Parts: sequence; structure tokens; C-alpha cells
Amino acid sequence: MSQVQGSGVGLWIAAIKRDKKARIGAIILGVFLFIAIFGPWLVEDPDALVGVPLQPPSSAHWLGTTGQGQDVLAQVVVGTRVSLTIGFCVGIGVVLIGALVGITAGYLGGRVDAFLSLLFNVFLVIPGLPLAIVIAAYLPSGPFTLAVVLIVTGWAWNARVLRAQTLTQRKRDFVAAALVAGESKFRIVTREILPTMTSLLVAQVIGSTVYAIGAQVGLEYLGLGDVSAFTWGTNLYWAQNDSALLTGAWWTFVPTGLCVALVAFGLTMLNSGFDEITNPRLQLERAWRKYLTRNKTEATHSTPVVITND
Amino acid sequence: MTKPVLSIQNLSVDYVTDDGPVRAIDNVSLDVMPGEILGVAGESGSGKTTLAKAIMRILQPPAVISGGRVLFEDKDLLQLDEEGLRRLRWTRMSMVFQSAMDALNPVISIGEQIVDTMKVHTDFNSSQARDRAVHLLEMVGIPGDRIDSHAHQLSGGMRQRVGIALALCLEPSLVILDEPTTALDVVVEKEILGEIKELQNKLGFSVMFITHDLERMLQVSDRVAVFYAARLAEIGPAKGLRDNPQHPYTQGLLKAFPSIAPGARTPESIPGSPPSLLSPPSGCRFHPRCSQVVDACSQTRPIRTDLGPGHAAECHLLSQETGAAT
Repeated sequence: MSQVQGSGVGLWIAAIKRDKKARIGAIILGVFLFIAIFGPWLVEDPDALVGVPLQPPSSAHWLGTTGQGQDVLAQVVVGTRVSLTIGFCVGIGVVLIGALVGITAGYLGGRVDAFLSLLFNVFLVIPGLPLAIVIAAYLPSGPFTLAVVLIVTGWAWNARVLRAQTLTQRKRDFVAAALVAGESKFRIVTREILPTMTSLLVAQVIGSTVYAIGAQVGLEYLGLGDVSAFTWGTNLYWAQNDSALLTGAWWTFVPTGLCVALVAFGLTMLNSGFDEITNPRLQLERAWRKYLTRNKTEATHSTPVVITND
Repeated sequence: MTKPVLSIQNLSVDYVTDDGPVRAIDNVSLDVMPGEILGVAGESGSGKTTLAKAIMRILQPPAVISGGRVLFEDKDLLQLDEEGLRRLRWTRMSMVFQSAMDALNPVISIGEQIVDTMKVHTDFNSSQARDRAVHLLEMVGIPGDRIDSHAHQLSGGMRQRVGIALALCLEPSLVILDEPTTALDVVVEKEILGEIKELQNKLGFSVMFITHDLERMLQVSDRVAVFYAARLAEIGPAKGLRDNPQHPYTQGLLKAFPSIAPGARTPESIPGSPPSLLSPPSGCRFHPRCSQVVDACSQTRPIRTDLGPGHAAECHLLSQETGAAT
């Protein structure tokens, strides 16, 4: 059977292989992960002054030089590691906190729910990015600060969604059955309810990561990060600082901007394949749609009629 | 001779899987006559519900209808477009699902749901529709003053009755009952079936009645179709089928039901279990479990043999006998 079976990592890999969009996303992300892990050893020191400032791309410097005379390619490559690390840490962090708070509130209900709901509702009405700017301005600058700031301002929405999802699940018969079977609250939440939300959680991680990368680049661009570190955001900060737009030095900001866009694109593509894992019905529909296309029949709301002569 | 309301001719339905289509209804033909109650019996997975939903064209993906014709009031349902089907559904043919009681909207009163259904398809105004809704509810045994009740205020049996009232509200000529009483206890079941029969007498619609309770079906139906592994094994008048079943599967099925009559024989089960439709047995699909198997059974698919008015079966034993007789 080519249908997805079993569990764990194999399942996710199979889902990626099957879906064209997920494959494209996985390849893009794979390239960036490779750059993040091995890139810094493959390029020269991004801090070194290697040539005349603001040189356009040439054979010596593939992406030209910055306003300080540093190599743009080296900066983009080295910046990938920090930017992606913060992005994924924040993406996973906000979903973990969101899940903990949201599912606890949804499952326990009552006063706990009232308190936790109040908490995340307060966080929801606080505008995220301005708060991030304020916090980032007061804390010592650096990647860790940025991650903390983004997690604090980003978890509430996930908590709210997961609370709602938990509410719809906790009254289902399978939860009642687990309760009767003597399962503990913890086990019911982690083994019965949580698996029904896998695709939602994955979608949240991916969405939050895209947000985190964007927000982090934005904060750093405003000078709220550590401007002496090498990240995509500081690359843009320095490009702006060196009047790249005024002088028409597009090579100092376009590569970094493209990287941000590509990572976000790759993550979004990847997400599309994951829905099928927790929704087996979609897998069946895929075979069905293929069959209809092969027999030149439109997928209609009513049961389609496909007359074949075999 | 009267024309059938519904004439299913060589209908096949496939479920598309990654490994190719699996046939869930295999070349089935049967007619439903005006004012007739046709029972459809068979084990779980034999294709009863698939047949019913295929007629309504409401099978969900991954199903496709892969052959045949379904003639209903001179229209081929397999040729109709969405709009044509929409017009026909519920006005001319309706269905009561096994879980009809769960199909009621929890936040809209039952009366409103019946009124809504009528207003979609007719030009009744609200008060006319409401009067008729009260009338319908009383017809299925629910006091008319419950019209403003919500689903949660009614018992399972009452909700199922609302489902039946909904199915009857546009006076369709064919009502498909897909195990309408399986989720109910036997007392309520008997009441509801009695009411359906009474209503059917009064209003004259045709019924296709699906259940796995053969005994009950033989009491209620005029004719009975027995399905086995996606094929029609035998179809015939209820009385004839009960007293003189021709297909070994029908015989086995009848023997498998206990009787409450004093001194009744002990039920006997049919050995084995129904085959997987992914790899059905060759020839006659029943042959691995059949007690009267002959050589031809595993070789070729038995052809349909007419055994009398409205009575036919697909079995090699029968086709040989008639072959010898003529």
C-alpha cells in the first residue's frame, strides 16, 4: 500500500514525498538548513574588510561588498544560522507554551480556564510588535533577547486556538471512553486529545516560525538587535545605515530579503503536505481525484459517473 | 404491466484506492414498483448502503459510479447535472439515514427545520408550511405541540421520527430507509416500522428498506433483495423468499436467524466470513462458503436466472436446473 501507515518520522517523510508542494518546500528548507549548519565554515570571515566598499557583484565577491567593504555573500550565509535558529526556536516555543496553556484551560475548564483565558486575552489585545520593540529596547540586545521577546508576544493566539480545539474534543465519546477506562487526566490530554491536533500544531509551528523570522528581521532592522552580530536583520540594518537605497546598492539588501522570502515560502509549501497525515480522508481523496482526472471526469459534489470499459 | 418507479440496470460502483478501484456494487439490476416496499438485506459491507447512496448520487469520495443506468421517473439519474439532481432530491426521492436522529440541527427547532425544507422546494408560505409540519409530526406519532422543541429535548426514537417526517414532507414517490431503526430498541422499532407501513399505505410512495435484520424485513417488505459481496444474490417476493429460498446464501441466512416459535430449530450459522472486496473469490463469490458447491461455481460468474414473477437469483445450481428443464 502506498497509503501512509505506521507512525512517527516515517509518516512525515512519506507525506513530503507524496506531495509536490511539500517536496519543493522541503528542498528549499533543506538547502537553508545546510547553509545554516555548514555555511559559516565555507565562506570567509564576514567581519573582514575585504575590498572597496559598495562594489557590485563580481567574480571576486559574488554578491558584491557592503558599505564597510565586507563580503555580502559571507554575511548572508553566516546570518542564516542565527536567523533560522531564532525563527525555529520561537516557532516551537510559542506553540509549546500555547499548547500548554490552551489545552490546560480547555480541558480543565472552570476557574483555571477563566484565569488562563483572561491571561491570553490580555496578551492578545496588546499589540505584538510595538510591545516587542519596547521590551527589546530595555533588555540587553542579542539573539536570546529577541527570542524571548518574540515568544512573550506571540504565544497567546496559539493558546486561544488550541483551547477552542480542546473544547470541541473533550466532549467526544472517545474521551469519555478513555475516562471510563481509567486513564489519567495527563494521559487523556497527551495521548487522546493531543494527537487529534497534530496537523494543527504543525501548522502553528510553521506559521509561527514564518512570523518569528519576519518579526526578528524587522526588529533587527530597526536596530533593536545586536548590531555587531551577523543576522539577516542586521544585514538589512547596515544596508539601510549605509544608504543602500539612495546609492542604488541593491546587492546589499536584495539577497537577504530574498532569503527571508524563500524560507517563508518553503515553510508554507511544506505545510500543505502535512494535512493529509492526520486526515486520512484526504489521502483517499487524492487517489480519487487522480482517477477522475485520468478518466477526464470533473470532481463534482454529487457522486461522479465514470464509465470505463474494463 | 406497471412501470417501475425506480429501475436500476447493471449498476456498478467503485471505491477508488491507491491500488486501483475496488468494486462495491457489481453489476446490480433491480426494480422498485409503485407503492412497493422493497427490502434490501445483506451482511455489513455487502453494498446495501452504497447502493442507496449511489441512487441518490450522494456517495462521498473516493466513490465513483462506474457503470449502468438508474432510471427514476423516466430520468436517468446518472445523466443528470447538479441542478437536475438538486431538484429531484427530497422532492421526488428522499432518504432516512441510520443516524437521521443526529442529522438534526441542535440550535434550530424541529418545526423550523421541516418548514425550511419545504420552503426550499415549494412556494408554501410560512404559515402553510408550519401547518403542514404539525400535520407531518402528528402523522409520525409526535404531538403537534412539540413543533418548537429542539433536538436535545426529544428521545432517540422521536428524533428518528422527525427524520421520517422530514423525508415525507415533500411527498416523494420513493423513500429510501437506510437502517432507520438500527439504533433504536425493538419496541420503538416495531412502532416506527408499523407507522411507516401505515403511511406508505395511505400515501402510496415506494420504499426501499435497508436492514440486516432479515426477519423484520420479511415481515415488512413486499419483495426482498439479498446482497452478498457487492452482488445481488437473490430477489423475490417476501413470502416466496421466506418459504422457498432458492439461493444457498439466502437459505443459509434464513437458517441463521433464531425463531421465537415454540419447538423451533436451532439457528445454524454460515461457515466462514464475507470475502474482502479487494480480492473477491473467483466465479460465484459465495462458493467458498457454500454447502452445495459444484464445479462451475469457482469458474464462472453465475448468470441471473428468473424463477417466477419478480423472483430471480444468481446461482449455478438454478441456471443448471432451468437449463435442464427447457
